[in-house]
Amino acid sequence: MSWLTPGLAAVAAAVAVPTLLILYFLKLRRRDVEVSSTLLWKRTVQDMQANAPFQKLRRNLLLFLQLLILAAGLFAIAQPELSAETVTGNRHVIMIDRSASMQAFDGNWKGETVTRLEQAKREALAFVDALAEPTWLDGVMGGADAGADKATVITFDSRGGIRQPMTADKGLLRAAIESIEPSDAPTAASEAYKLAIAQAPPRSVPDRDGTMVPLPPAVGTVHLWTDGKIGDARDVVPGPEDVVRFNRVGGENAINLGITGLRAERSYENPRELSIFVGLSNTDTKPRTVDVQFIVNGSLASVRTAEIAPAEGAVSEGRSLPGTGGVVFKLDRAAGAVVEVRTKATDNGEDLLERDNTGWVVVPPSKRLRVALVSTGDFFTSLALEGLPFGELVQMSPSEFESLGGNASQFDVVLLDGWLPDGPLAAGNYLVLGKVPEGLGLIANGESSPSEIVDWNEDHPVMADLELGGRVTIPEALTVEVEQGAAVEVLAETNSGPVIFDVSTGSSRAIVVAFDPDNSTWPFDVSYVVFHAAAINALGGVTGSASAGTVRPGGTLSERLPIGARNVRLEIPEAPDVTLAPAPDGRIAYGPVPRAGVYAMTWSGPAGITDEVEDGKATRRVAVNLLDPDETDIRTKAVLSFASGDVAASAQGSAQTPRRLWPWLLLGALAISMFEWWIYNRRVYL
Amino acid sequence: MLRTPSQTRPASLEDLLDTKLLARLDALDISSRKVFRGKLKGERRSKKRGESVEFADHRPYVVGDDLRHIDWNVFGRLDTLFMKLFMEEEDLSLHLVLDCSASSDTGEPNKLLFMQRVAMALGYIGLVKYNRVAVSAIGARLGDEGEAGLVQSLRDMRGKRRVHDMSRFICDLRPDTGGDESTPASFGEACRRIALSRRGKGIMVILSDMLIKEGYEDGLRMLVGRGYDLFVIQTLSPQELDPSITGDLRLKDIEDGDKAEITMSAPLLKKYKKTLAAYTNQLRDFCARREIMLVTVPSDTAVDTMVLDHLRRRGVVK
Repeated sequence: MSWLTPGLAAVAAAVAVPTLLILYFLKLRRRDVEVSSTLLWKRTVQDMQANAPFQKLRRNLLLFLQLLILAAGLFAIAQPELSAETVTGNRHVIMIDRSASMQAFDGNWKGETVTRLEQAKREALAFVDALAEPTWLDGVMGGADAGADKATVITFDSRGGIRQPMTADKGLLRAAIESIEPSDAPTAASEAYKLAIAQAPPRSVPDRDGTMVPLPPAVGTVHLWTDGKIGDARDVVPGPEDVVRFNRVGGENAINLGITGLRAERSYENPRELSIFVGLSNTDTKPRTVDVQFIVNGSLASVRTAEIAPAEGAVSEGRSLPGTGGVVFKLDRAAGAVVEVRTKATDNGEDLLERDNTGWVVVPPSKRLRVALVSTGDFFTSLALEGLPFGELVQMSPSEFESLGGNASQFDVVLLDGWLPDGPLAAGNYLVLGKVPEGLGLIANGESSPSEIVDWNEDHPVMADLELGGRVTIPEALTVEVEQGAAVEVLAETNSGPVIFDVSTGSSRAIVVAFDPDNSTWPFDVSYVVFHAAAINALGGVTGSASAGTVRPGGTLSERLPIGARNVRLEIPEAPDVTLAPAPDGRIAYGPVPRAGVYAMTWSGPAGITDEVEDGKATRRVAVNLLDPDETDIRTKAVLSFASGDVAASAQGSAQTPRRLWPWLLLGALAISMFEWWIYNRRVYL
Repeated sequence: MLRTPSQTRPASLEDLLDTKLLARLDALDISSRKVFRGKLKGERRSKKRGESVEFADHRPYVVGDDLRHIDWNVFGRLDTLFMKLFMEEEDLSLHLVLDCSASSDTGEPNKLLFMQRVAMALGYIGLVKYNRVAVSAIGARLGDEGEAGLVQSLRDMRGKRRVHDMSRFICDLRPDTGGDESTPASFGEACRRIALSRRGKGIMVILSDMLIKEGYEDGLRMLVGRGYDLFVIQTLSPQELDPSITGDLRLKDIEDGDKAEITMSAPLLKKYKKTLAAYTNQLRDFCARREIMLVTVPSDTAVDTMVLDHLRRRGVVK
């Protein structure tokens, strides 16, 4: 039992109870009635007055009933409510999971089937309604809402976001909760929890010599509505005084079929042959059959039937692993395409989450690069490039390159091996080995001592698949400084400084290796060939996989458009288009990406090698797919394992909708007053 | 109990008694448990064997008896002289006393009206049967403008011709509501005056609510034992018998303005009823000891029921 507005009730009681008593003990204003004779009445009253204590008791019954009515009213003002849990403090954090799995259609609100997110929102609204409201008393006692419960609304998918900072205004809280939209992102709560901590008031205690020592912040009571599929639960660190209530939404054995893997690949031998691999997952304990539709550029190309194994076998975190299945679709297509894959259960079984039944893959056209290798007869480099599937590889000497008039634009990528033309580089894409070109923001500053590559940027598409640690020893490298403000990304560092750079200017892009590979041990490692292939593809605008850059919902869409792209518009599924301004090096970024689907960037200006061009406008499409086995496995968890310990799901619906007692108290008061009226009229006393 | 709202006063005999009832009353006569010697020969049977035509009994002849009343038929058969005795018929004095104090002018139906009706019915019977009828009113005014007096009387009425005189007198009776300050008519004093001014012997019927603060004992004592057969008809309104008032009240006595503060409740009501019963019993005891016949009736009793049933059973009329 907790009281929402005890202070108000106390003040009302302090006023009303003495008033009632005073009114009661004041002389009654009696109604005058003329009677034939007071003879009998006087005798009667005399007799009654002889029994004074009884008389008093009888008289007090009405007072007692009135006090009872008043008490019921006062308790109603105090707004008591029954809840299973005692609330610590009056700060609440409402955290609502809006990840993809929360769109599963197995929520329950008052007997109605809704999505999990809808259930969570309704329960959170009911919880907000039950919060103690500010009273006029708080204004007197200091602080406009000192006595009221305060709450903040935080949502999370792969990121956290504060929908409503700490407030006592229920209208704001309600509006914040109602505005929550589902997202297709996976679940991560640690960032959201950090946001909650950030709103906790700073606390400190004086130590022995009077200096204030900060205490860990106390967030208050965290009301967490989620289905329990929190990927980073171990990173959530509730404070020692925080109370976390886990309000679980959704079923423990919810059945869902979904796409968990989707990839397109072109055959290495025959780039026209395109294979699309679809991975499927099943949480049902029965084997399931689905139709998988392949829709290429909007028209249905094929339907395959796939069997998905039942969830059984190996047990992970107290449950069986989802069953898996897959299907492969091959088609002959050299041009680029957007392939949409849809699954549909054909066996009348349940499939509670709709969002993971669709996936997209953007297949770029099978274009091949024209590459020029300008070298003074380097053995290793030409050997490395010869094996790679370029459209054309032209080897030339520096004089031949210079006879082109420095015009590199007929080649997609120019590799300058140990040689640089005089003056700045002409517009184009360059891979520069052993030299540092001028005018790109890099300043060569003498040579450094022998070193090893110790760190490299694994997030960069060029370096992502490389393993360089301990494999590349460099006898001598150029010491390079980066000019301030230059668009330079360091791709690899030795123990004496950065050695590989990705440099962009308004007209050129170059990947610069600031040491001569021929003098190092690199050419003898397989990573040397992989680096060349990745660097040339990256410079030429070809990504490694046939399925161009797949972004996960909740992540950031980051693309490098050809330099000079203007009027970039991004088409977003289920949302209005946005206009993006590209950085000087052509990068654009948009995020977090809310929904899965195909995002299309359209711009005027030069097009990349794989971009579609129509009416002078280039278009590049990026598929955003859920493809998350954790989200597709919508079976809820009963226990959240936080860093501070396990939190079990609270009983369904108990805390979210605390039983408010004031209507019953008012009903009781009404009943007592009716009873009193009856007594008064019937002159019956118990 | 409560003052009757907008009380309508009776204007004539027809307002008091309807003709049907009058026809039935014609057949009745006033009766007395005691037999009194009347002043005139009347239509009343006397214990005295007398000279009417109605045969009563035989008794043996003694010297000196009127020879005209010897039953010669019996002498012929039994050879013994028997006197033939006949009923003697005498008149009877009927004195009706109405308590017209303000307290009687209350209740729904109005107590005074009820008393007026009963008095009229009894008076009518008395007049029709050639009895001497007197009507006295305690604490009444005659007519709306009339002067209040302790006792107003109309005496020595006899015969049906006087019915209208009597009805006019009874209709004219108004309770003396002099206001809060006036002393109500003293019942004892009034009774003393009535007792002093009485004529002859007979029946006296007192109609009152008997709610008398100074006590009814002195007054009744004054009247009893002076050759009157005394009947008391205590009239109480239904509101007095079972009060329906509620709430916190200040009761004001209609006669003397006395006030009593009460809070109505079930125990109080119960107590009131007990007190009322005790009061009535006390009155009954008092009357029984003095051979006074007491009838307690609510004012909502029909007059014909009252006369033809209650009073007949108690021998007031026959």
